Amino acid sequence: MTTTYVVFVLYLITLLAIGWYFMNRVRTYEDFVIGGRRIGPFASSFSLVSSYMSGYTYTAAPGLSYRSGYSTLWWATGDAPGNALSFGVLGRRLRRYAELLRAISLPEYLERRFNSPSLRLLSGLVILITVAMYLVAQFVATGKLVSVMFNTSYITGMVIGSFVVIIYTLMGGYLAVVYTDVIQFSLMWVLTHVLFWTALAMAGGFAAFNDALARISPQLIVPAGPDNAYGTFLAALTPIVLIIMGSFGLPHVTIRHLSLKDPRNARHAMLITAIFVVTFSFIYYMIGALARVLLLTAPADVEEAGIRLWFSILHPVLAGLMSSAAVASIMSTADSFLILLTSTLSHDFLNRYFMPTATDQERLRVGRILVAVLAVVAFIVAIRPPALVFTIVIFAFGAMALALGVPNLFSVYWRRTTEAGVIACMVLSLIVYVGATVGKWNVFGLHPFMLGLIVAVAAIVVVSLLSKPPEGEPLAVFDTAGGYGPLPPAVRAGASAMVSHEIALAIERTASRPTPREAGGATPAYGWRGAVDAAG
Amino acid sequence: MAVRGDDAERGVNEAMSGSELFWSSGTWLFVVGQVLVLVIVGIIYAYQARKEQEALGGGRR
Repeated sequence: MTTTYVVFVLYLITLLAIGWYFMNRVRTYEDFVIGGRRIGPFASSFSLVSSYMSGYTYTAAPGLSYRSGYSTLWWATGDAPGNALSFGVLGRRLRRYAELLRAISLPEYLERRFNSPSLRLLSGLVILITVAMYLVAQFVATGKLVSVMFNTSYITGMVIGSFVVIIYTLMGGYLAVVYTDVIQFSLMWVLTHVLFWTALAMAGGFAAFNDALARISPQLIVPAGPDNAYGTFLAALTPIVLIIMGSFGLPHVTIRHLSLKDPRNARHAMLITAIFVVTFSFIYYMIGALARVLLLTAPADVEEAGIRLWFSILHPVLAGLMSSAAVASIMSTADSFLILLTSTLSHDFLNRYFMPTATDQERLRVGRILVAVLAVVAFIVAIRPPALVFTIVIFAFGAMALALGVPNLFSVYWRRTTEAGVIACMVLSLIVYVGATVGKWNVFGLHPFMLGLIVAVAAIVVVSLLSKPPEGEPLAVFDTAGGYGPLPPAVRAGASAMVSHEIALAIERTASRPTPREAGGATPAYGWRGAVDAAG
Repeated sequence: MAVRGDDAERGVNEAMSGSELFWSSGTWLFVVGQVLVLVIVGIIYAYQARKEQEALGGGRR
């Protein structure tokens, strides 16, 4: 156990060193919350995956396959297409749009895309509530995992894990988050492979493993799973759609799109992500099924199956590294939530409404103070977590996929999308999702998420079509964002006077009527032109 | 005969070994699905690369 401790402590020191290294490289507020938009495709890819893979990866996922065998792969199936296509399908356009609108957060993007302060407030509130619940859950998971692995108390485990995350995020901001994520996912990928292949060899190989699993129950082998849980088309499709839509809506995923160095990097990141997630997601799920075959005694809690397995079969050094990888899966998610909460509170609420004239240094200082305050609050809540915290987290995942994922996709792909359509989508889908979950509505046997998804798509389409269609400037920016050519050079250089000129030229080519400015009308207070003018 | 009513309908045959069940029940299709994801991503990657090239004025190589 001493070796395991030493390896784990070395890992924590490495993370702190990365935070310290980036502390002096964070010079502006944009550096702190979005890494100054200079993250390459490889780091963006690994960072997205590691923040997406939370404490669930080494506890709940193996627990599921321990109980249900291969049928849990319905959940794993959505990981790779969701993560990868979020870059190629959503990320490339979102990144171009965000740069054109000079937006550094999702609520700010929605406000400027639809010229709607209400949307910034609404999306900011959705992020604030759901992400805060997630952060508490990550701290709880850290406490549980460290206490099980190192035989400490829950509070000690939480203090060790949370303290390190808070310190390196406070020091290095988003840059530290991204580069610690790269190390964390590398560790997770390599060590999970070591564990999986070692366990498979000990089970006697693939055929022998299947035979052993079938001897426990043949239902562990078939796709329909025990009790025919995934025996219908809809039951099998629901987890795949939920996971894919989550990747389009989770704000800690979309922030990786906004921070890409260049929109063209999105396709490189898509390819890297597809390769690494395809070769990872089935493996981490199936650790539980391997544990069911190899462990001599059943764990008291099936979610400890994976942990019991690596302490049973791996060398102490590898077990220590594997434990570090498990904690890494939680830390890499918790650090993203800390940055995201800070960005939402400071950028979308505080700076937007109360400190609009604050300098970059003042915003940076406020950002760091908020990281510390939020972390302490989340820590205090996590000491005595609500009993239903993990149920709430699973529920929050669906809420974000509906309220943010659907508007994100429509905002970059459908020119006709309007502010009213997006607001109706967010509000109605959440009402139906909450109602169907809490009230256990049975509408054609649909899962609450699928019901919410149908309502979300119907609401955004119908209400957009019924409201006044967008025209002129927003359509010109929409077309520029959807294109493949380089963005206007002045936009890239951040020269706002030239930005107006460059985009005005694009508008002249595509707009169906004169812009308000050309027609002598007032410039909108918000929206792309407002953003550009404000920057000037 | 080891096949039970409901189990037989969904391809669970207790007389089969686990390996046979893996192939006969279609569980292997999970792996095919992941290969398909790689193929789709590859197609999108190539499409976007071509469009970027065209937008830069280079056209097809």
